[in-house]
Amino acid sequence: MARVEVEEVVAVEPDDGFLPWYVSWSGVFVGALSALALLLVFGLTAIAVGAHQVGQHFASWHEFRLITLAFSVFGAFLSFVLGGWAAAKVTGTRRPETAMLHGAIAWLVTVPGLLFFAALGAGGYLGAWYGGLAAPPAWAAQATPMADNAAALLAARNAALGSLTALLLGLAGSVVGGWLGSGERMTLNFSKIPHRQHGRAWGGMR
Amino acid sequence: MGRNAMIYILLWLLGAPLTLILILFLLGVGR
Repeated sequence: MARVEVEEVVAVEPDDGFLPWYVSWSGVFVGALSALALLLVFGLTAIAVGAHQVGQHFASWHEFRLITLAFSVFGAFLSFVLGGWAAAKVTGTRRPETAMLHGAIAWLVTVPGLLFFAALGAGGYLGAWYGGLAAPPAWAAQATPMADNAAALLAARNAALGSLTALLLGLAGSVVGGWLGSGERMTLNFSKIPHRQHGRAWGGMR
Repeated sequence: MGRNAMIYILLWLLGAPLTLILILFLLGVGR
């Protein structure tokens, strides 16, 4: 039987039309879930060894002990390094740019999750800083008006600063993790593999 | 996106967050 193979090659100039950028949602979700899991491990360990206390509000940074700070910083950073790394590995890309963006997208996916868990009251388990993501639920009656209390205001400000720090550390960590996971040497002016595949959504590579 | 996607990613996703944290703490926003 005769077999005819027709191979069609369509060449598209990068500027001519839209070329979608491939996002591996499998990688992104694995990365996000592993970041959350490691965050929980760090948070629970910190509570177990007494570095964190559940539901603690910091009226002053002087109450924030060194071991609490260490667990908060390393927990926030390292769990997202793992998240970004896992995202890059499952994605399977070896381009550092794509890998880092997948890490960052994994971080993006965790943000609504963190807000949700904090709203449910589980934020304290993730670390001292994530409790600040929880707002008092709108449907629950406020037992004591908080706004007259200067210490409560200060604590709210510190909680916001802590949550912001944790989130931004996580973003930086996920990008570093994605970079690690790409397997490229982590310098700025070096590319190990020739980029044969020109999905040009992110422009010509270096 | 220009030629050096890497530079933008590093600048905005790595440098900017860390700089913001550093500035906030250096300004003494938390007490």
